[in-house]
Amino acid sequence: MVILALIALLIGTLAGMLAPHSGMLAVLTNATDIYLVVLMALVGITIGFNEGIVDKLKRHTLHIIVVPTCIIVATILGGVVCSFISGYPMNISTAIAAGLGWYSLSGVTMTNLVGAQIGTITFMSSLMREIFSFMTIPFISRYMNYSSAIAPAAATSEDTTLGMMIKYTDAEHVVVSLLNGTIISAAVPFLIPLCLAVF
Amino acid sequence: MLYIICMVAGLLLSRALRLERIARPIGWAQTAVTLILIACMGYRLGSRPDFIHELSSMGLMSLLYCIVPSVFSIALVYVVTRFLLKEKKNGRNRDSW
Repeated sequence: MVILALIALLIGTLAGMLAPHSGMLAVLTNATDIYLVVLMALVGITIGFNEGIVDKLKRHTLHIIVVPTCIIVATILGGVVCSFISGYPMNISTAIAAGLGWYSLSGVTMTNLVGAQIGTITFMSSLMREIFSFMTIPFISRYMNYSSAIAPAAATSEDTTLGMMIKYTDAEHVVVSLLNGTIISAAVPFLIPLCLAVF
Repeated sequence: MLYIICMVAGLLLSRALRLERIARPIGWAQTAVTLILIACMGYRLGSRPDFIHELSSMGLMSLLYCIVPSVFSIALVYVVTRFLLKEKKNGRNRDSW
């Protein structure tokens, strides 16, 4: 998926560089709101596939509350720190961080809300977070603890990095990872506009 | 707000119509829409006249926004699960779960 995403980004960027004033391409790319509506409906359908989600929630309540809360709080805090380094306003900086690894949705949402440049930084930082997760999960699970291995993955802990969690942690943490990803994925659409409005 | 409504509608639809039967096509559709959205974002970006000059600075910024929030997340989850929830290395001591 990461490779496909990079290819799509490359094709789009090349099209933009070669035909920046193409009427047809402009119409297609201005319909992002429609694509986002479709994507959100599909995400909702996918979340609905998780049978017995309530039972799983009851069994690991404490971890399921604590892990995503810590990830979200620490990520926003990281966004605050990045604001001082990058010089971006606090609201934009925290909103970039609030993408939480969900590169497709966060990148496009930020493009719509702030602009293409910030949208691309959001996209690339979230994509890098996914790659960073792949590289660090084996070490974190070995030298820290299994719950900490869920942290870099954030929103991707329910899909793309779940395989790494299956390989490097145990069954109980895989459930926590799955639910953590579901909770964070549901939170991202709220968090980005919230950060833009509050900070 | 519209996006949230759509997500909730999708969730309810999924439960009501038992859509897990078509989970694979739904996954494909999700991937396709995601790729279209990314390509659209790329188009908007590539259309910018000073795109090439901005690219190097955007890469460094992206790295910054990847590393700092990720490291903060790992540190906070470790401190809380290790010292408050008493979770040790390799998921041991799960009595506290």
